[in-house]
Amino acid sequence: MEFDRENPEKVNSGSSKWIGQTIEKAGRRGIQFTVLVSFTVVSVFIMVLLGFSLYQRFTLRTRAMMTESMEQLMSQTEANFEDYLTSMRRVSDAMYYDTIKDKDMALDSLDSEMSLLYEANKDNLISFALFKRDGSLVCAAPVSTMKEGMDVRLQPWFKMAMERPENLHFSTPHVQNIFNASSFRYYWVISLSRIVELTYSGVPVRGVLLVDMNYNTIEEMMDRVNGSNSYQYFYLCDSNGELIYHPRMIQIGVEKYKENNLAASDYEDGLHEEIFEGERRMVVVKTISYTGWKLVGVIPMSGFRLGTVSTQFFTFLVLLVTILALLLINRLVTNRITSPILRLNRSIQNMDGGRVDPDKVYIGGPAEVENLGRSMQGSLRQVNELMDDVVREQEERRRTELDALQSQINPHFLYNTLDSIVWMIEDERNADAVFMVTQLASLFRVSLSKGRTVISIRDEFVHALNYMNIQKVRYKDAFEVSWDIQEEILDYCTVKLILQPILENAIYYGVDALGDEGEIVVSGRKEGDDILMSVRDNGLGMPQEKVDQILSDEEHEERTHRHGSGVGLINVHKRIMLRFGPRYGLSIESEPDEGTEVTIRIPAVPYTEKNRKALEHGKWTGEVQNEK
Amino acid sequence: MKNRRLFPALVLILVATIMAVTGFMLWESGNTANLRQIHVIIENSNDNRWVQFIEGMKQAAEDQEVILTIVPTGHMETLSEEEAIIERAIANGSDGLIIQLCSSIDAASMLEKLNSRTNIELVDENAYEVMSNVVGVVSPDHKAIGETIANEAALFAEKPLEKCTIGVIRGSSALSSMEQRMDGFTEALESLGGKTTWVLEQNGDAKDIKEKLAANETPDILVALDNAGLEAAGEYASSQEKDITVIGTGTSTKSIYYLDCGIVQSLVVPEDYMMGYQSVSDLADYIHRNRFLPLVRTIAHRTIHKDTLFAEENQEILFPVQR
Repeated sequence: MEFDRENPEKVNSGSSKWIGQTIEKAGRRGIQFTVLVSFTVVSVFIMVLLGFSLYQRFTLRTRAMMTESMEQLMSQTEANFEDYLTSMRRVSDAMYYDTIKDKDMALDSLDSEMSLLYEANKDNLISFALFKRDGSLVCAAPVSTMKEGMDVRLQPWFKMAMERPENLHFSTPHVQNIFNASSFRYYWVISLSRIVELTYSGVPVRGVLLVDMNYNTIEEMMDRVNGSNSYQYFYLCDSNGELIYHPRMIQIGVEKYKENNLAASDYEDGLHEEIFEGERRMVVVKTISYTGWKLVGVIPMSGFRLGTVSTQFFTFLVLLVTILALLLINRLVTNRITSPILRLNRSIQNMDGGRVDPDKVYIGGPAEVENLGRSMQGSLRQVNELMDDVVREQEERRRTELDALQSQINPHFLYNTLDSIVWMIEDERNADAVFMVTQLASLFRVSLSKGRTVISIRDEFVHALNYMNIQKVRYKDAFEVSWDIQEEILDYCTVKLILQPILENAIYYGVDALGDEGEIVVSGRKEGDDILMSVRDNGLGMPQEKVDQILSDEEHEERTHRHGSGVGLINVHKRIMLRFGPRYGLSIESEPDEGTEVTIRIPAVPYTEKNRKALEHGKWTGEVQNEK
Repeated sequence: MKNRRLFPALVLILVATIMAVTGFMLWESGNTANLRQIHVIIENSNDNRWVQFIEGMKQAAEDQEVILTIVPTGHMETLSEEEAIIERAIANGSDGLIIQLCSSIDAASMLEKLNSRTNIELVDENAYEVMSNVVGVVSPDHKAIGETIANEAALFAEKPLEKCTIGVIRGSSALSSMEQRMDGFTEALESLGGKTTWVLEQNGDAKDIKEKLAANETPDILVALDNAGLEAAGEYASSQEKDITVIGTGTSTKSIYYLDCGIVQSLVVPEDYMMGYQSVSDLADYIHRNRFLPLVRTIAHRTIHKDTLFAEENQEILFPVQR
């Protein structure tokens, strides 16, 4: 992400947006996922933190232990070296103070004493030799001859002894080269040289006593120490940094390996850290007394760490197994925690979509979830009761409205019919009057239908026929009515009194103005799972705008106040829709001067007591019950 | 749905990784537990001339963590004798062989045959025209050694080379390394105006070479082109009244002794320590990587005179501390 200098807030807002989106995204995931991820992230973080701190402690502890063990080993080696070198010095002292000082070289021979001392120490010694100041050999053990042309004064050990007569001098390792090699053998030695005072006929003369120590002894001591650990190693150098022993001495000689011996010679005794050839390492130094030699122990830092490939892989494996175990355990724990919540969630998942049975709400799990379930169950019960109340109230209201509407029709129609009957009686048309009274009685019988709202189509058509018969008498057969009804539809359910208002409209607004040419066709048929009943007239018809207005709610409100002109149609339409759903109701087709056809569409529900009751109580599910 | 799939996928990936890492660790531990073994087949394995070479090999074996087995051998007359020893080493489970050939004749076919069965590193023999694509080679530059010896002969000759009688003791003509030394020596000598008076071929029999030397004219300059020849030449020269200038190549303590005593005037010493170290390092590297990429390496040689014999830089190479 680049930082916008001009508008730093832009970056901040970008970051916070991203964080917000991430949180929101996480929030949208399931509770199980969120808990699992949170647990795992926290566990892994703690584990890594713990692992890191343990690793640090482990490294420090290992470092302390290795250093401690190295120091112990070095102290022991130093003690061994000091013992050995002290014994060599004592040999030299014994030779000098007990033998050389007591002898007059002009008169006595040192051979036997020197040989005796050599024999006693020959495991650690290669040779003894006593030289005069001019480099000539006084005596040597074992008895040897000097090389032809050998000038020992040029040898470093001789020079050192002459330069600093007060000390004993230990040389660096070298191949002994002053005597003729017996049996083609050459020995690596460390020369211990010192100035001695020789007496020749009572006259003191300076000389040099040489003790050639067997280098193998030192090498064996160092090899023993070096054999114990593959990481660390030890070497020995003199006070100038010249190597006396190194496990890779020859490789250093041919420059195939490097050692920091020159720097080590300047180190004080103790623990040091250094970087050599790009590698950090711990160096422990101990100075061997008198000689000034430094015993140096080296531990590369990689030895403290998880250095080897196998250890690194093992650590990686432990990490993977731990993550896997954490993941599985967390999953188990998460399931235990979230399972009751999820079950509760599933049990109320369809609450928005409709009624939920309160008994199906999950009650269980921890106390909190159980309480939640019980509360939810209680709430649902209350909601269901409230919903039932609302439905009941609506049904009641609808029924009241219907009754009111029905009562709107009856008085007007009854008045006209009775008027016609009176007129017939006055004209002594008794038979016609009887017919009218019979039709009216039948009409009211169906209208009442024991207070039922749903009746059979058969009864509905009987009602329509009664009505039309009465109207025809009233209108003096001014129009023709024909009936085209399929027999099979008669035993299906319908909402009662839906044809009569349409027929009334067909008479008043359709054929009334046509004189004797009016014609009304009533038909009924089954179409798929629906039943269609239509009333077609050849009256005045109406434009499409008028048709569209008839079944609209706004127009209904207006007409209700005005009364008449299609009030009956909208009422029928709404009653059908209320009972059967929005798919059903009226449709009107009309052409001005051509006529109008009003079609009723209702579902084909067989007229059985069960279906009728279901429809009456508004519990019709939309599925047709074919049982008759 | 996505989450439901994520968890098993994650577990599956982790389990697969754990199995892969465990498998690798088992394979690795199996490899580490079985230390690889290298057999070394050199003529007269106990001979003092091999001291530096063996020390170099031991150090490399320690560094590379391989087991080094030096097969005890004597003088090997024929290649079939050597092949029999090699076969025994392979039968004993050798992961790699370091071989010094006793004869270069027909060696290429033998090496090609063996190479399919084990890794081979050839030492002290640089006939790589025919073998370099088959085996690894670590060897001195034999021709250069021959040339150096000729130059040293010219340096120490007490009279002009053309007036000197020059005797040469050479090793087996069956070895291409010896042929190269001889060629290098002869060419350089001729360019310096000298000419060999006689050439003796020694075959490892000390008595035989003594007789051959006695049968020839005592030379002014005696040249030895191998260690055994130089030891014989030193012994011969020390027994002669006439001052003979002895020049040669060798690495044994006896050869060095003759230089120390002044019997040998100049000693050309191949760095056998490096030859040993490098041969084991290369072979161990091939074995550990499980693939063979033959390398041809040439090691250096030093010219040592009496006054430089005990110089600090030469001591380590000439007198390696034997462990």
